[in-house]
Amino acid sequence: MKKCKPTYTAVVAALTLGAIYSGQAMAEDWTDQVTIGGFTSAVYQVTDQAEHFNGEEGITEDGSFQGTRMGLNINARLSDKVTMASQFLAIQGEDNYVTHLDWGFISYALSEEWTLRAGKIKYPAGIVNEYVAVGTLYPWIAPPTLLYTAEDSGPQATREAYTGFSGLWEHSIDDWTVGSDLFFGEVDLGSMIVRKLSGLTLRADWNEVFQAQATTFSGTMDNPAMAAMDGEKHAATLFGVKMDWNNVIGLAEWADVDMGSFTAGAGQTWYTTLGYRIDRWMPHVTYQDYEKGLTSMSPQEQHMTTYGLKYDLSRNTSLKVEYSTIETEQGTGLFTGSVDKSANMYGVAIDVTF
Amino acid sequence: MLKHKFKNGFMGLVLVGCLTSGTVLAEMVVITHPSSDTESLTMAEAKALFLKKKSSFPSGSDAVPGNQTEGSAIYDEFGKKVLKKKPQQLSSYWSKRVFSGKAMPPKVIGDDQAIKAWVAQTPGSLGYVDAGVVDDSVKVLLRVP
Repeated sequence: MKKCKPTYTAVVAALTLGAIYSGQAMAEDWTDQVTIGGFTSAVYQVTDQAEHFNGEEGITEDGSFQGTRMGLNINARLSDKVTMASQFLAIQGEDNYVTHLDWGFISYALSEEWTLRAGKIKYPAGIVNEYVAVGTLYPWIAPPTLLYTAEDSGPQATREAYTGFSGLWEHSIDDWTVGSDLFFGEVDLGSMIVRKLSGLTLRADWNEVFQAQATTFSGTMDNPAMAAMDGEKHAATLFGVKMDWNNVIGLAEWADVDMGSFTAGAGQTWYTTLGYRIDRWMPHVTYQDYEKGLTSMSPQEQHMTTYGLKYDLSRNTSLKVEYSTIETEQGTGLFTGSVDKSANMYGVAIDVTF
Repeated sequence: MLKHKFKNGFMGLVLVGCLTSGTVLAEMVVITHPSSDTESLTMAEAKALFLKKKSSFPSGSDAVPGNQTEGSAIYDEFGKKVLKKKPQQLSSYWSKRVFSGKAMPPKVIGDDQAIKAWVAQTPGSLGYVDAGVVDDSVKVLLRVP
């Protein structure tokens, strides 16, 4: 995850404080206008390989607390039609925790069904991406890494957040809710900026039991340091379904990424998860597949199978343990260097929302 | 005779269960301020308002739902019968809405008496309580058996 620019953070922090102040001035009881929530996850994972998995600060045989984080969420209603939402996230960095604005935006309700948003907005690609940092909301220690990783070595099918505008539509009919999110903006990745980004997400939901989501987006990569990528398009299409029915939990997502003539960046990734809730326990299994640049000089192919167990200590606290096998068929996949064809990874985590 | 004994035993167990569990509720009602121009709500309309998928009554006037304390018996019962969600699913629903910045949950007002008092003095408010506590200070929009 990338730090946002300090100036932007300052502007949004000022907006946040202003929003809270406005809320206080507007209402007799300011708690009517402001909601503060938070979450934290403590994560420890270890592999049997010397190379890092999932980035330069990723997991090795020495163990890693990568993924350990704490978030603070502030939502404020400024008027009947205007709300402000923000989330600050502190994550385990190389030597210390790094705090940044995960997202922060202003919403204007045009009607009951239409909302305009502007600011730094969570990327709507990937069925769990909008709440990807909140561990209690999904079965795994981390959402399937071969699709959700933010590392350059991954598929780059989704991102943390974009800066721009969004038109959100949501319509409910009895137990059904359908919606769309039309978005435009840019993503600053530090080494590269994806400009003129535009996309559309469609959603359908039956009573939170069955959900389906499809996203397509396209932008232009601005990367002067890497001529092969500079000026090329960065496009992706994702489909996902989710089920929480009679204690059976199921998720499946597929993504296709296209980077124009930069064939090393083109690829596909998918995963499927099946779990079963037994009172507070949920055993689950996930299979992930990732292929990238198969027609290029540096093809990557990796598969991952994860066996996990989630135990709900309370409504807002979960304990998780996992064992994964990582099969690297071509290249190094999400490892930083050459590894055994078959690697093992073990993890434990505790997630809390408050 | 055996059937009669079984029936009595079963009824006894049900009665003991009702007295000891404290979670079997009588009828619930959805209430609003007496000045409201809305006379009734369907189950689907109540669900949409309490899940913040709608923000106004069918008449078009603004609706401000207030909630019972999370984890209380009536909170869970209302969740199952009207919102059609188990406690864990309801908690997950609101976490997803809050942590993606899309909606804030209804403000927690408190128990039956607190909800009734709040609704009675707040035009546009919407709450749910045990039917047994209702009086003329509030208007009943929906009965949930």
